[in-house]
Amino acid sequence: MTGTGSFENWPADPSSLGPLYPFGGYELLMTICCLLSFVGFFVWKLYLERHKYEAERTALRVEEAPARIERE
Amino acid sequence: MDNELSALSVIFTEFYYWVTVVMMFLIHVGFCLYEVGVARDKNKVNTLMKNAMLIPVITVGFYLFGWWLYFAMQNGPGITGGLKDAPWSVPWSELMGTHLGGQPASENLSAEDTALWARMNGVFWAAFLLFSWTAGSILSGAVIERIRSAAFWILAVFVGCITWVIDAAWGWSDSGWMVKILGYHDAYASGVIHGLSGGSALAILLHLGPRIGRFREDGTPRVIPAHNIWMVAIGMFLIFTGFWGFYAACNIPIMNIASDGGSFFSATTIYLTPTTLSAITFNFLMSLAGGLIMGYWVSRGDAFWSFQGGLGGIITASAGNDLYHPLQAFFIGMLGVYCGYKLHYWVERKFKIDDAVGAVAIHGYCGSIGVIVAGFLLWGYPSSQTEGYASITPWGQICGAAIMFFGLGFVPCYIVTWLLKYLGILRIPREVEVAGLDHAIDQDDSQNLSDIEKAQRELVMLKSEVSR
Repeated sequence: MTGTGSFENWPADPSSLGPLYPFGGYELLMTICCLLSFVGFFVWKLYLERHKYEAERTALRVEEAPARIERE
Repeated sequence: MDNELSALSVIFTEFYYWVTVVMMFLIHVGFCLYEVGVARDKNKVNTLMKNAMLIPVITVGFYLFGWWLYFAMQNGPGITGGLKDAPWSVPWSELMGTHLGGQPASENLSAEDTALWARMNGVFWAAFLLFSWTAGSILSGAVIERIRSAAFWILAVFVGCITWVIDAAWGWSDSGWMVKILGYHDAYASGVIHGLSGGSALAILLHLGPRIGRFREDGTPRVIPAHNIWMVAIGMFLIFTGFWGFYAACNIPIMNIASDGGSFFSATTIYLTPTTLSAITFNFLMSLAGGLIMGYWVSRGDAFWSFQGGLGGIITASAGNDLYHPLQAFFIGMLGVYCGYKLHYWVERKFKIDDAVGAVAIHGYCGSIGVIVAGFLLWGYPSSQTEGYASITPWGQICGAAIMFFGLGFVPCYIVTWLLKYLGILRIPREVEVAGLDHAIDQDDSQNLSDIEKAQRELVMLKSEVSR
C-alpha cells in the first residue's frame, strides 16, 4: 500500500497535478480523527484540572492547619 | 500560472501574506511577554501556558470550522441570503492541503476555485487564524491570575473560532451583509477584532470577579504592580511590530480596481476599496504617536498606560486608517485613548471590574469609539466598489459598533461564561489563588533544588574523604 494518489512520477505538465499529499480520499476520516483529538484534549484538561486543584486545595489546608491552630 | 506575469502576481500575493503571517506571530510573542510581566511572580508559569496553549487549540478549531464559517455566514444567514457555499474551506476539502491547482477530484470545486485557492487557501487561512489568536489573547490578559486554563481555552475557541469569525463574515468581507446594508467600514478591525474582544472580555470579567484583595472593603481598588515592567515594555514593542504586519495582512496587495474594463492596479482593503501601503504606514505611525502622547499625558507619565496608549491610538484610528489624513489619525488616536483611560477607571470603581491589563478599555472602548468616529469622518464615502451597497454613515457605524461590542461580543460570552461558572469550572479555588497558581511547580522546584544541593554536598564530602 502506498500513499500516492493521482500520480507516481512527476509529470511533464505539472498543471495537471491536484493534491500532493499522501492518502488522498481519506480527508473526511482524518477530519473526524482530528475532531475527536480536539474534543479529547479539552475533556482530559477539564478532568486533570478538577483533580489537580482539589489535591492542591487539600494540601494547602493541611499546610495551613498548624498556623491556624496556633492563631486560634 | 501559465505565463511569467500572472505567475509573478499570484506567487507575490502568496508570499506577501506569508510574510504578514510571520510578522503577526510577533503579536503573540508580545502578548505572552506582556501578560507574564504583568502577572505576579507566583502566577507566571500558569499565565504563560494559558496564553501559549491558545495557539494550538484555536488553530485546530479554526481549521475544523472557523474558516468555513467566514465564507458561509456572510449573508447572515437569513439577512441578505442563505448560507454561502464555500467548498474550498471545509476541513475535508482537498484544497485545505498541499495542492498544485490541477483538475479537482471533487465535483463541488470548479476549475477557477481550484486554481485560486490552491495557492491562496493556506496563507489566507493563516492570516485570519493569526487574527483569531489575537482575539483570544485580548481575553487572556484581562482574566489572568484567577481563571482556569480549560475554561479560558473554551472561551478562546468560542471567540477566536466562532464569534469573531461570524463578525468578520458580516462586517469584514467584501460581501458581508453589514457592508451591504449598513455601509459598515472597519478597514483594520477596530470593531471586528478589538470591539468584539473587549465586549467579550467584559462579559467574562463580570462572572469571573476580581482577584482576591484587588478591592478594599470600601470598594476602592488596590494596584497590583507588574512583576517585570521590562517584559511588559518589550512585549508591547513586539505587539506594535506585529500590528504593522496585521495592517499589511488586512490589505489585498495587488488588484485591478478599474471598473470600466480598463486596468489600474492598486492595493485594496478587505472591501476591495482602494488604499496604499504608503497611506496606512503614515496613519499607523501617526495614530501610534497620538496614542502614546495621550497615554503618557493622561496617566501622568505612567509607563504601563503610555504603552497601552500607543496600542489604543492605533486601534481607535484603525477603522478608517485606509482613508484618513495622518493628522486626523493622530488626533483620533488621542481622543480614543483619553476616553478609554477615563472609562476604564470609571467602570473599575463603579462596577468593581478587575481588568488586569486594561483590555476592555484599550480594545473594547477604543475599538468601538474608532468605529463610530469613522462614521462621522467618512460620512458619505462608498463602502464598496460594488453598485447598490450602502454608503458609510454615522448610524451605520454606531449600529455596527453595537453589534460588535454587545451583539457578538458581550452577549454570547456572557451566556457561555455563565454556563462555565454554573458547572464550577470557571475560577481557580481561593486557597490556590492565594498561594499562587504556580504553587505546586514552585514546591517541586524547591524540592528538586534541595535534592541537588544535598547530592552535591554528599559528593564533595565523599571526594574529601577519598583524598584524605
